[in-house]
Amino acid sequence: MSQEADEIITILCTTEDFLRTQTALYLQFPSVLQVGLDAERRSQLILESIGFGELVPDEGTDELLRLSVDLSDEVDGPPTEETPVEEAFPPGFNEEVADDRLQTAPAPLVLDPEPEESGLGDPEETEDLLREAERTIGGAMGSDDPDTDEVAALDAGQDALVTIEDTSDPRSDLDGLFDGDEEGLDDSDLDGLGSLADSSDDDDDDDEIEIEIDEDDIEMFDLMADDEDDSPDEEETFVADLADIEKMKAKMSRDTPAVRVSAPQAAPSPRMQTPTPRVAGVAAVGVAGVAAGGAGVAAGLYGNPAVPTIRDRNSPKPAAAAIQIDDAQQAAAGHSSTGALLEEEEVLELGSSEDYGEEEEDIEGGGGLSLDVQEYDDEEEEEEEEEEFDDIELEELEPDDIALEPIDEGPTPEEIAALMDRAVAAVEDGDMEAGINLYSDALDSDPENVDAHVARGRLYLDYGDYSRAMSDFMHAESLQPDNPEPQIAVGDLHFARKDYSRAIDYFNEALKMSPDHAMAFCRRGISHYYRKHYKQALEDLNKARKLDDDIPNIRTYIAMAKKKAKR
Amino acid sequence: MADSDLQSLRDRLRQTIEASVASLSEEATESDFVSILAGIGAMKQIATQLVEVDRRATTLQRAIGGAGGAAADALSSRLEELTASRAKLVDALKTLTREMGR
Repeated sequence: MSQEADEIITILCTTEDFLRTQTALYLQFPSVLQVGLDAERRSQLILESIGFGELVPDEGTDELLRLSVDLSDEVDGPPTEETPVEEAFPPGFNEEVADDRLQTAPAPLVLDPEPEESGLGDPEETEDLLREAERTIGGAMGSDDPDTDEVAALDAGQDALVTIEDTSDPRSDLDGLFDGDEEGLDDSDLDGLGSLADSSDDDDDDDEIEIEIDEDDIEMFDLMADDEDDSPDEEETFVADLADIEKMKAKMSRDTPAVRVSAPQAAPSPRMQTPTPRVAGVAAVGVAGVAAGGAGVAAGLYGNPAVPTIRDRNSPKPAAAAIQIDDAQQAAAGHSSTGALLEEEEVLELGSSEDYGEEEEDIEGGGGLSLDVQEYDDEEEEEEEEEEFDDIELEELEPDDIALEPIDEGPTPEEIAALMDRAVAAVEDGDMEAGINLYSDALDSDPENVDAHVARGRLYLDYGDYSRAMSDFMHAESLQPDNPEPQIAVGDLHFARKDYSRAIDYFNEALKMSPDHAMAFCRRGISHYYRKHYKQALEDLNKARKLDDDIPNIRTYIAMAKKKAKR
Repeated sequence: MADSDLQSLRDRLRQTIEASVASLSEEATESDFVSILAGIGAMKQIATQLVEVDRRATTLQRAIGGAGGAAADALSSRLEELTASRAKLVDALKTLTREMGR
């Protein structure tokens, strides 16, 4: 009985979808929303003006439905002619059944003009989101991150210079420091590295850093902390002369320290043995990259190029100081730490003691850490140490101690397909935000899912978010350069921006890849139509219809093109 | 139920809508879209209600066939109300279709 009514609804829905698409193409995003809201309000006014503010009285509807439900159930059973309706179906009888039927019945007329909450326009919700975003950003830039804290402190004008603070994993600092050459690295050598910047006040201690150098000439640098060097304004200087190491040692043993490392806020008390950077005649001192923290090291501190400092790559101000002995081999191998110099790309060269003497005035009068150099002459002793180290490593690497965690293989293809299906269903229900989220979930699991990229991009396009839409389309195109769908999607984007000429170019590309692509012909035909090339439009639209007669509104398009072509 | 009446209404509505859409040009304004969408929205609501009324009427007719006495009378009375409502809905659709065609 209601077949005609169903067909009318189909006609109306199809036309409405078409018009909403056209609205999105013609108008910008806010206007599209406004048109939708205005249309809803006006449709309500129309209904009221023709006396259909309430089409069918709600009064008695439930009762009617309940009656009809119960009586329809009785059709198969014996008739109850003697039983009055009121007794057979007392108030409240079978209400649950009736409610269930109501829920599964076709949607009744809803005349509430209030649009559903989209989550886009609520000012309070927007403010909450902004506050949440500020907290999030603040957390990322705040006290949880020692590196960023230090940068922030420096930005605030503090003269904190030595700031290797992350004590949780000293090895991570060394990773960047020595570019992976960790031969001879020992956990025990790393102990205390993180305390470089500890706010220890025990300046009386002769804290030192030992740097072991594995070469025919084995040197040991002891960076000895100087008691007097705890001023924030003190600078750090490392000088070593590998060629004249003995002379240097003698020089450093005198009153004037050869190397000064100022730890303005914290007197360093480290003791570390470095891995074995090989030292040639001239060594570069000063640069290390703390790769994990994203910081680079540049020689020079506040205008003094002689002081090595760690700089945050995003900040011109130094964030920490570090030391690395580099050589030509490392430089040739691309591991030269000097490559990380950011601003004052000046490498300190280790000179002879005489050379150093020429710079003596620069280092006099300061405290800080001094560099002490020791030499291992006894190779046997060294070999023994290495053997001990090897033993320790073997013990530590017992397979039983290695905990193998199961690898999370992520969602299966079936689960991803289910996500895609849910996304399609959400979009069909008009919930575009849910569709975007579901497509994003699918892409999280399968980043190379071209269909998801294109589909999500089209939703962004519907929202008028051209940049995100284009990003998705281009990503899809890069994944499958021979797939016409991304080309058509990009063409649609240009179409939406009323750049019909460029849209046609992309549709042409799509047709080169797939000469029988009905939708490409259709879209190109519509583009021709809006360029007022009606004959070309009619030709393309007819081809599209021949290829796929089920393209929505294809007949309407053809009729429009014919009408214009005749003129 | 006058199905032929509804069939002619369906055909006329299709022609009217196609003509209205075809009249939209590149220079169409927001107001043009709002007008057509509003008319379509109103008609869609009426048509939806029409479907619902038909569904209820069908159920009632089946129920009346199995009922008797006072129950059948009560159901018949309801069915008449629904039929009257349906006629109003069809008239409203005709009116809106005419309005859209102008």
